[in-house]
Amino acid sequence: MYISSSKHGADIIRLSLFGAGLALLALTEVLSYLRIAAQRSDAEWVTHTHEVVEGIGAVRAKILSAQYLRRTYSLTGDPHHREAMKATVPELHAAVAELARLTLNPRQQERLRILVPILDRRIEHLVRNAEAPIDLAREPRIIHEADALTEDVSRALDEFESEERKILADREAAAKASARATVAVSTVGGGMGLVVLLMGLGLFIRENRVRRRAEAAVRGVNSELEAANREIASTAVKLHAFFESSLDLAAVADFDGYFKKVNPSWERVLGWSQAELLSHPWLDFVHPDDRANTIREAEKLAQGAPVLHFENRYRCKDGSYRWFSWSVPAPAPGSTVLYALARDVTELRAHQEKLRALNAKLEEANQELESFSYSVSHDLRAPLRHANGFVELLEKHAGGALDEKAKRYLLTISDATKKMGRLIDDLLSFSRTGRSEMRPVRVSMARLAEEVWVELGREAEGRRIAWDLKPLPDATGDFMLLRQVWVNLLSNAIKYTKNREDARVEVGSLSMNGQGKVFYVRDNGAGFDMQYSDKLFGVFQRLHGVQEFEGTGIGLANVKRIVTRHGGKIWAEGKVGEGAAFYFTIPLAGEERR
Amino acid sequence: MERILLAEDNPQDVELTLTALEDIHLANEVVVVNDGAEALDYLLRRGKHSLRGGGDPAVVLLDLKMPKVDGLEVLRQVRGNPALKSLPIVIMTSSREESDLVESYRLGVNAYVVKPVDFAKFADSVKQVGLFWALVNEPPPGSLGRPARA
Repeated sequence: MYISSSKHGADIIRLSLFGAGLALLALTEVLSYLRIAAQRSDAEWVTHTHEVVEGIGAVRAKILSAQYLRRTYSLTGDPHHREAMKATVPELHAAVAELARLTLNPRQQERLRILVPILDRRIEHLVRNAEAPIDLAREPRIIHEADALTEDVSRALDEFESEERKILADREAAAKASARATVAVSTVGGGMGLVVLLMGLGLFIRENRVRRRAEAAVRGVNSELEAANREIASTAVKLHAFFESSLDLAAVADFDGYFKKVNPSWERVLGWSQAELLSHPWLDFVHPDDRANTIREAEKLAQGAPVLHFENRYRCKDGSYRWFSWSVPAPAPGSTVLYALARDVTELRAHQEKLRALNAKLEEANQELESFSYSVSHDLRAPLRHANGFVELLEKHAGGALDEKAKRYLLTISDATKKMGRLIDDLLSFSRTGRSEMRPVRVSMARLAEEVWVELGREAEGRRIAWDLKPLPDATGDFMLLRQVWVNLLSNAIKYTKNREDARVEVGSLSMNGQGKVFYVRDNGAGFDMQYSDKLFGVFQRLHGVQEFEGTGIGLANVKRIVTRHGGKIWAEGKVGEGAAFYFTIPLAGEERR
Repeated sequence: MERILLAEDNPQDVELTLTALEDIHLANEVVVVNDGAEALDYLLRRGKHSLRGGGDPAVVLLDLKMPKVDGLEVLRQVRGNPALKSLPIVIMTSSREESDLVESYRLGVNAYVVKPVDFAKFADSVKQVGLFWALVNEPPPGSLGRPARA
């Protein structure tokens, strides 16, 4: 609005300036024309006056010429001069007539009227007695008369001429003034007109520049608009393709309760044809139990809130129902058109339901296990303690009365209870390994292995074991659990090399195809038979007798559980009498655990 | 003068504990209660203990798993009672369940002892606890402190 009104104002100013300029120029032209016409007339008058003055001169010349010829005739008596003088007379009359014709000024006409009789008298004096020459010496009176008459004529002509010259001077002055006025009018008027026109032109140029700039801007916007239109058109094509090929159910609906458009997925999922879906209110297809909720969601949409993850059931043509999960963006303000997307989540819900049930069961089992191990922890050890305690008291009380055999029996009972106690402790620790919460951190495996080795070394007092720790990458895992891995593997290595003089334990890492970095603990101890390797990691499974190597058989089971909980793998290689190697993987530092 | 309150429901454990304390001549300074409820009655002089004389014990040896009111509940009530909250309490239990440990310390237990299966070790633990809390430690005012003769 602002731009157009200002443009309108500029138009008016520009047009006014042009109009004013043109008007000024036209006026100047008219005035100049008038001035020039006046000037021309003034010039004509000047010319005319010059002609009159010349006419006077001609009369004067003819009179003197005639007088001269008359006197020459009288002196010479030559008739030729007389005839020439006679011929002058009509010429003189003609000159006077011409002068009368030229004289337009009334006052000059008056003078002319006085001049003519004087002139006539002079002419009459000339031609009187002209048939014979006159002896001028004897007749001086005639000369005097003639001179007096010529003097009269000359005086009258002088007056006439003097007046005419005065008129000429006036007219010449008037003509000059007129010329000046003409110049002034054309200069000032033309100049003003030019200035105004130039102002108009300047405004026009500026206006033109502004307009060109505006036009360029409009052209730019237009081309952008065209590009946008092309984009929209191509987007529309793509959107239509998406709409038609979407596996989800896409629909365009209105608040009048009917679908306006549905994509082919609807027919595929529900079995209803598109025509059937469009010809019934969509609420008719909704499960009766879900209608209240569905209406509530539709009301939310009407209030401008989007619908997300709302689920309801739609009836299939065969009478069954499918669960849909809806995603409907809020309609644009003022629009009642809805673009709705639904996903068939029937299978998903079934799976979720199954998973929920399984989870509940698992939760229950876990809780049972929890209270079971709590009971074991509290209640199973107490009787052992009692058995052990009272055996002890019995020996103390009746020690003297018992023979060696009886004493050995009591010792066996005592040992059995202690062993049972260890088994229970191991079992509980194994249970805890699986249940405890994991707190993954970056763990320096090299430092951890070294620390554990030093700690265990104190228990291997008096033995010489070659310890070879090669570089290890850092791992990501629960510090205490990883520590337990090293404790179990290294104490095993120490335990099973106890019969070797040149015991050697090597720890390192290597890259294996398909496994990435693998940690290993290798010893040259008792080893094991590979055909029993699957038993190594079982709970309370042992490949050696307690007499040979003590232990409950829980250590490697624990290690396997920890490695598995970290998403790693563990396996072993061995040969009886030559040694064993344990390999395991653990997520390295910087690796994401799934 | 009973300076030790033993809250233990299991008679065998009671007997083994007392046997161990006999060696250091503390057995006759022990009052035994068989569950948490009775322990609280004794401490608060309620029920059949309403007329008992003397002050508070120098230490309470508390089992965790007991009928009626368990050890943790006894601990909670003692610590919540302005008159008793400074009472030294040592938990003696078969369990080293982490949840029990965490909860006991959270409630402000003074010591937590896991009873070993091996009687020799068990007796050793009991003696150390008895000696320390009943004879070495200076109990809070109002308790039955170290006997003057000791």
